[in-house]
Amino acid sequence: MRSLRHYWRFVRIGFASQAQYGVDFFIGAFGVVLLNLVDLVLLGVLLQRFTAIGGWNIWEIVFLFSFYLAAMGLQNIFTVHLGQIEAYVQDGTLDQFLVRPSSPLIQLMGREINHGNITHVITGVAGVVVAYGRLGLHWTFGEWALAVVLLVCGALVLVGLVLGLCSLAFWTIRSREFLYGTLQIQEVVQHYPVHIFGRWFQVLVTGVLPFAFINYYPTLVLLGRTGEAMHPLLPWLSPLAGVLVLLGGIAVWKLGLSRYQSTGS
Amino acid sequence: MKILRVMRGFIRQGIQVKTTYGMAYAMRLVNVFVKMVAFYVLWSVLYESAPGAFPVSQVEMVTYGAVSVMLGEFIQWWDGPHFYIITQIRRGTITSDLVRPVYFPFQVFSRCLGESLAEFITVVFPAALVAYLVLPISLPATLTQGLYFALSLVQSYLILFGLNCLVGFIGFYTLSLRGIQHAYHGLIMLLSGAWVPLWFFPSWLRQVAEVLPFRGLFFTPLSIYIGELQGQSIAGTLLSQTVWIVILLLGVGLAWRVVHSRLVVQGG
Amino acid sequence: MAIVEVRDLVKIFRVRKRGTGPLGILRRKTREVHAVDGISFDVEEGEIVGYIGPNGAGKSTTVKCLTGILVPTSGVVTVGGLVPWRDRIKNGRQIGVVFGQKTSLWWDVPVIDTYRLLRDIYDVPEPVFRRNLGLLDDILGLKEFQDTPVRQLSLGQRVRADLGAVMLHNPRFLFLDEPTIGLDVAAKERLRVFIANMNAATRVTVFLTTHDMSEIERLCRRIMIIDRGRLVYSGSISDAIQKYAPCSDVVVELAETPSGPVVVEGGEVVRQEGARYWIRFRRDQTTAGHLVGQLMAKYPVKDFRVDDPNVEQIVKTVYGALAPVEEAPK
Repeated sequence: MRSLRHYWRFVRIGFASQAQYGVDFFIGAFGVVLLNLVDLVLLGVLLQRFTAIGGWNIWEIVFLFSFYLAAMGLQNIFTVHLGQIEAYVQDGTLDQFLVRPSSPLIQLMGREINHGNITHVITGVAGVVVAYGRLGLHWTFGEWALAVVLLVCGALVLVGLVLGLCSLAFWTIRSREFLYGTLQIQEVVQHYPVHIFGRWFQVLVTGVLPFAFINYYPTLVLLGRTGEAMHPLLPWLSPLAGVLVLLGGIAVWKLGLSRYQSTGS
Repeated sequence: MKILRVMRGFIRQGIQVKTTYGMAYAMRLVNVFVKMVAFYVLWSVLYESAPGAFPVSQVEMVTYGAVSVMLGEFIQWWDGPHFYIITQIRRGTITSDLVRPVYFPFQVFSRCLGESLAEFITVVFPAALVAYLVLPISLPATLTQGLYFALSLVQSYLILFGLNCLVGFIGFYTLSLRGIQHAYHGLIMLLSGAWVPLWFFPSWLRQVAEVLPFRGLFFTPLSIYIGELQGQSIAGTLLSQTVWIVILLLGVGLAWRVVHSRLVVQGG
Repeated sequence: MAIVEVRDLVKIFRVRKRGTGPLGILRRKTREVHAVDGISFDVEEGEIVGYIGPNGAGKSTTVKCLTGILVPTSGVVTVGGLVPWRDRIKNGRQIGVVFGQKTSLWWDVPVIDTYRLLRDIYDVPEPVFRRNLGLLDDILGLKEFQDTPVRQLSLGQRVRADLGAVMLHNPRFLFLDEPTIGLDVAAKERLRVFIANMNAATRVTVFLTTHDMSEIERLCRRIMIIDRGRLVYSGSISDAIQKYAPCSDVVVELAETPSGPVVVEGGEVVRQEGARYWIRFRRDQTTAGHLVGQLMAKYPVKDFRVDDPNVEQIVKTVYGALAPVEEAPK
């Protein structure tokens, strides 16, 4: 499709556009590794005393945590600039999207590529691999493939959520705030198996703001704990959730864009 | 008094800034509330699984968590003196601060105190109100305990100010706070007791934490609040906070002398 | 045959104003703003049309409706046979748009990289691309900065780069919304030459909104004046001048102030500063020569000049609503 070809061109130019090499990059990488390490050390201190949180031991938590980190890193690489939508509206960038013979969504997604976030992906994957070793797992090739698919789908869920929440800028100007408002919920989902928070929270992060499909449900599948979910089939719906949430996010964007075209701001 | 008037001005300004964007403000409160609930659930779950591992009761533990979140909005290391200093230097507007006949660190302090108090009024107070109504948390057992808590909180704030200032002055040499802010954030998260109270730490880590100023930020006031620290030990802990305040403020004064002379020479 | 047709274009905005105070978010008043209130006009192929009006008159809104950014509340717009907001992708291929002060280029990459990206988006064949690049370089001097990231360009260079960017795909229509804002005189001249040349070479239809009068005078044969959402005048500049500013001034300086008032047949003294007099006359009733002749016969004339009105004066007259709104839109 032409649009995908366009997107690839955008990626190339966006790549060149991010002058993130050098000292700045390593400082950022240092920060990412350090802070996530501190998080895990604290979890480790806790789990030394308590052996398990909600029935999950330290390495299962590390797996859960790192999976989220990797998915988030993947998503950030392609969409961290979506918080700028309100800026694009004000500085005329969005108008330029509309004036060119190309899908505005593709142009939006291709505007920036934040490859610095690869650090999150690497750290996350490293965490998953370490946990894999400590848990004594032995995956077949098929299970590794499944893990990759679930990771990508987890990233898609986050992409859809970020796109949808940031598109709210078309209605209220400050899109970043909505995303910011979900920060604590995201932290919770990243750190702990959500079932310890009770049923209504599970429903919240499954059906309303489906953050749980980013790491919790994929982890249930990969660690063979699908029985813990509200329904044992639910975790297997993660790939479907990825597609649906992404489509949902795109729908919100399209709605927002048409609103912009009729109200002009 | 003029200082009070200026302070009131800073507070009012701080409140305005924080509430102008209604949506941002609302989301802030949402985040604080979610965090408190998260801690509440976490500690409850852990307590039920192994009550013997805690040197305090469940109510006390949950209170520790909730109050820690509230304090976290007040004892802030993400914004404050260091960012103010760096921004002023970058923009070149530090010259206007220097021209005023007021000691620069004190200017920074009053400005940031104003913002912190604004924070207290707009975020901490409503959050506390909701928390006490909704969650099973407690107040300090006696009035004296409460007063000790207030005192240690004031000292915490001063320690925070000293640390933030020093970070800001170090940042002056690198012109960017990024790297050092990461390390700073890591240290505080690890050693201040904001999340995991120090009594859970393996002894070697606890000893390290006892020697550093960070535990004075959260662990000290929180332990006093829930009554884990009583009587004699309170005096000792409060004193250690004071010692750190003196050290840090001396450090700030020294660092400022050095930075100031460099500023004057280079012209910013 | 008209290549752009606009009939009864209306664009209404709902503006919500926050109430004051901390609960302002709950108290909102909604107001309707008729940014464009029933405008109709045609543009012929190859025309350079100037679209002028005070700030807030609806110029940018009109341009946005013509380029597919906004969907009109009502009315018909066709550009080259297409409806801009409906056939957005197809229309995108035939138009180029430059918004003053807002660049369309990627900030951190060299200009030439953005150009290559645009070449791909607009499906410009490589040989055509190269030829256009050469042409654009001749007129805009692109080679001087085409390898520099846009971030590092001066305002003048950036505007040149923006103009080059929109011409790469040989658009049939060029929409320029205040393109010369903030530029110095030399840069503005360069842009004018560019537009005139492009129009001559490719017959591109140009729709230009601007506050700069010299641009209008040099480039546009036809102007349209819009005020508060309505088309107030549409026609040639000379006709506009005749209609809105039918008078000229003879400014005469006398060697010594005369004893009585200065009287001249066909003219009226409208201003006096010391020995200098501004004498106003209607161009359709008499001539400057006739007046000067009389003056020189009766008074000791030291120096004189003739001030003819320019577009600026027309616009001021229109903006100031001193002249009656009488011209029906075409």
